[in-house]
Amino acid sequence: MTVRRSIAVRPSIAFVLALVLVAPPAMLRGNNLLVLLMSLVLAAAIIGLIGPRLALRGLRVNRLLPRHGKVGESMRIRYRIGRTHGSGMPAFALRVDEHLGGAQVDIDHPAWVLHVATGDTVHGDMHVTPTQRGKVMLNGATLGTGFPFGLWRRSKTLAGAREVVVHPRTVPVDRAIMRSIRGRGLDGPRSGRHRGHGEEWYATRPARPGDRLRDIAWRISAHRDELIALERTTPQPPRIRVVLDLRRATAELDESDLDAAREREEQAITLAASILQAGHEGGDEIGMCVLGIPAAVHAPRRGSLHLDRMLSTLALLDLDTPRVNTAPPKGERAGAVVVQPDRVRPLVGFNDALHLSARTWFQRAGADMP
Amino acid sequence: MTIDRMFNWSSATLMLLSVVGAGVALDAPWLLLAGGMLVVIARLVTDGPRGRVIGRRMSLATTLAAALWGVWRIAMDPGDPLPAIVTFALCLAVIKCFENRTMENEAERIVLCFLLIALASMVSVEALFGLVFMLWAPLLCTVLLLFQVQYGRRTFGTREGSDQSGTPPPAGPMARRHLVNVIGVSLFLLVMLSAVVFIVFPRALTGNLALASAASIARTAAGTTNHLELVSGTRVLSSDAEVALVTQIAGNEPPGGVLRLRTGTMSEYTGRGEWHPSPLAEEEPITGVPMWRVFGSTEVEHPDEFRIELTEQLNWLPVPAGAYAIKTDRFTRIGWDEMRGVLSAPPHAAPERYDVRVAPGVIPATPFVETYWAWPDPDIRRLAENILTRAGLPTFGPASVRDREAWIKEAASAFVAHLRSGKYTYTLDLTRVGQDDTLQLSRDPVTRFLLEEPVGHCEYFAAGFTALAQAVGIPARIVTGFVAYDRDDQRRWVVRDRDAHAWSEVLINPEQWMAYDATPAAGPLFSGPSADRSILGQLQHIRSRLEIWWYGDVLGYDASAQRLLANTWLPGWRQSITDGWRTITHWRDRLDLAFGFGAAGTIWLMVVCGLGVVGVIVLWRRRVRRRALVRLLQLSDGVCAVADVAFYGELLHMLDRAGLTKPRHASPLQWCDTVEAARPAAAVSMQALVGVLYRRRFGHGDDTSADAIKHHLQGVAEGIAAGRPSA
Repeated sequence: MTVRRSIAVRPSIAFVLALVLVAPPAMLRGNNLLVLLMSLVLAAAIIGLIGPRLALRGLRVNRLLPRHGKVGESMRIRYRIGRTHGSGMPAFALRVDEHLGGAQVDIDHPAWVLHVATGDTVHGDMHVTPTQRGKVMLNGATLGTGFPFGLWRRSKTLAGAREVVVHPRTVPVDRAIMRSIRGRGLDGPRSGRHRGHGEEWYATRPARPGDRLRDIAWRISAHRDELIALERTTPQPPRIRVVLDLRRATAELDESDLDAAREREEQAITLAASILQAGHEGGDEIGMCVLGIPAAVHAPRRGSLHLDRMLSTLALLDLDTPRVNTAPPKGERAGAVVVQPDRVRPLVGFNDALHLSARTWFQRAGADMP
Repeated sequence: MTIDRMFNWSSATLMLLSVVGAGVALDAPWLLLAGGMLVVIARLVTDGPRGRVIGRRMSLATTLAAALWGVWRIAMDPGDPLPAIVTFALCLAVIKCFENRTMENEAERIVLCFLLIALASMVSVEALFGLVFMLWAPLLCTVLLLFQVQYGRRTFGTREGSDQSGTPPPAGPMARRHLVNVIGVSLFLLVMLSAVVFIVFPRALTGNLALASAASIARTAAGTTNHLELVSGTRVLSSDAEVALVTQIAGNEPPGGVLRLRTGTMSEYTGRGEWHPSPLAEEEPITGVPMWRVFGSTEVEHPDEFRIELTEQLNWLPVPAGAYAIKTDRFTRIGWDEMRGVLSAPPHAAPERYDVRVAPGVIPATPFVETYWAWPDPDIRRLAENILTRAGLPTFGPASVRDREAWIKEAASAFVAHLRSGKYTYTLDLTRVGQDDTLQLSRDPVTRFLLEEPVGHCEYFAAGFTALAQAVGIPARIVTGFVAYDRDDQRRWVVRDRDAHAWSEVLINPEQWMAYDATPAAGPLFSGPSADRSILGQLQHIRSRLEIWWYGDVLGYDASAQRLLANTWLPGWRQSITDGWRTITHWRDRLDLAFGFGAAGTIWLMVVCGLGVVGVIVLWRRRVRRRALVRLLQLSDGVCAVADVAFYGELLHMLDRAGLTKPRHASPLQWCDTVEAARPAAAVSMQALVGVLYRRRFGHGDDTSADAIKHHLQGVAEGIAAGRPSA
């Protein structure tokens, strides 16, 4: 991205400097040209003071928020700026600034709208990149403009407080690892009692247009004197369960200092989120539980909403809460992966699970990983 | 036209105008041409995606070179550094034109344009520069307006809807139309407002224009001073400001309807352009009274009678030649100089209205001998003798009185004819006169005018005539005063500032002076409608009218013009203020008389009045706030007292200052939840306050004490100060 150099001198400061340059000689020398120039500057100041007030009259702002954001990915916050009534003067060069709180974000560029006339509704986008998981608090949208001369900027806060959940960052997970996780549960796809296009069948029914020829049960059809089709089962995808083990307090982790330990915990969360994401993309049923911190337990399922819920759970994990030594839940029949921050420690009941430590993972992955 | 093109064109034109303005101000055509061409070339070279720009190093190097040049010029001429500074700023602007066309550079260019014209304004008052200035000012405002839009578009508008080159998305036709409308309205308001500020700006602060800008501007001195100084390198300004109104009460109208009023005479030339009254002249004090007071020696049976109403305070009372009796509107002390035939008034105490009786056609002379030019320039004497010889006149006056009178009249006519022959040019612009050091010009303005540079205004012509006459031994003097042409509806002569004039008088015999005016009647200030009906003539006429407007009404707008305008536009305002102040002092005196509290009591009274005003303002503000609260809570009569829920207004004000402005649609409880999310530390206190509000507002009653409410408000303030929650 091109780095833009902001204008060093603010217009209001430039205005004051211009006045300082012109006013004393105008008053002392009695040169009417300078008095005229000074009059011009003062008149511009007066218009610059009134203009923004008129422009901001009757403006309304609504936010159109995304469902969630993701650490390291640009997030668009859209503002709907409308004007039902006003002073008659169209508003120009409107900038929306958000009072942000909560999770840290970098503002790529604020929302800016060229023109809003009476009766118009215009959309402006603010692009932010979250740098921390959690909740981004949007405490109020301030609509401001310096039009016409930019000498004085006037703004008013229009939209109320809202929040957006920022999911943890995800990194690519190797397919081999995903295969090894799946292999630790049921061996390959299995049949479930759902309709689909699998290999096994469980019922028959009268044939309908569109049925494939190989689905026709010819012998039964001959017997009943009508075309009968086979109902086949659908293949059930592999199931993966991610267990994020955060039972050890940050200070007890095998790290040099607290900051490194906290960083390692964040990496563990990132790794868990990455496995969930990879499983979802691979078509697996995914579930998750967090040990040590009170959080919802998610049974293995498929679907984007389910993934969002799990990532939101990870996003809202508060690592400052006191850890509890919770027992791991009795797992369903699923391939399990246990993610721990600093090093692998055996977990009762998960003997056949794949154990991963964030430290090993990210050290192997390379220096560019968080 | 797209906004991009509008901005680019107006920005380039602004730079060009600024450079042209600086060139005109410096009076350097080569600088104007070179600078203008470079700006145009820069526009062509840097335009488009393949435009070439100079690098940072090159820019710095050229700037350094320009700075060194500027320093060298200042070192060469340390007395006047301003032209060197303007030239440096001009170079800087031209260099900036060749740099990248980023918004930051555009901003710097706008600042440079302003700087350039501001500096140029300190250097020049040329009408051409004024024209450039008048075009430049609205263009600057247009560029500033477009800059606001363009900066946002280029900085924030490149992500959505733009192509990969980073070009901002185009603005729609409605936006462009509205933008053009807004620019038009803004310019109109700007012109109106700046005109108002220009007119009402207190000129008392600016001092005397003539004194302040003596280097380049001079007000016409005739009619307002007791001596004459021929200054070259100046431009004479005058205005339409009224000086006096003259009504003829009795007698015959002056020839041609032109009234000449004298204020002073100067006969002695001290060299270097300075003319003074004779040191032998003495003033005799007389008392002006509301009845006729005769002071002159020449009385006639049927005099001309004039009533003169002064609208400007003068130190010399303008009267027609031959005045011998005066009647003032009040008692006043007047000085009468019989030798010069002028009346003086005490400073700032001239009578506002006076009547004079005048012996028509007579300018009486006294037996006293005035002193004249002691050592006439031999070159001028030679010129005078040549003129007389060409006219067939002897170079020395005859001995007999009658022959001498005839010779003097003929000689004076010959001098007038010489000065009006077309060889001498009348002008008010002497900025270039006597400035060319390469010509080895005489340092004496009269010699220079008569023999080297025949350019000047009425004072030069009068001085030239007087010098020629005195050179051949004819007693002559310069007369200053006014020549009034205009008349109003009541047939009164309106004597204006621009009517100030200088002419000459020649002593034709020991008892009588005769007036001679050597100035050709071709000066723009004395010209009526243009006689030349050709297009060129009409254009010349328009140009001269514009120049008069520029120099007279814009540059020459001073305290007196301001006063005149105020008196014209706001009749009675001064009287109202005076009456108001009189009423105040009257009541103060009466109170003082009644209670005898003296100066200390007056101060106390003023303090009490001041406190009263402050109290009224505070009460008014409280009332406004209470009204706002009543509107906000929709309180009707009988619901609850406003004072009971006043704390809610304070709470909202507190939150508003912290950037948490409550939307109108949100209920107090909803807003409480929102604030809780943003400032959790303030939640408890705010909930308590909202609870109190609901209970009081909806009539369930509440007995929360004022201290408790104050405590909750304190809690909210602390909660706000605690800041936002961490992630």
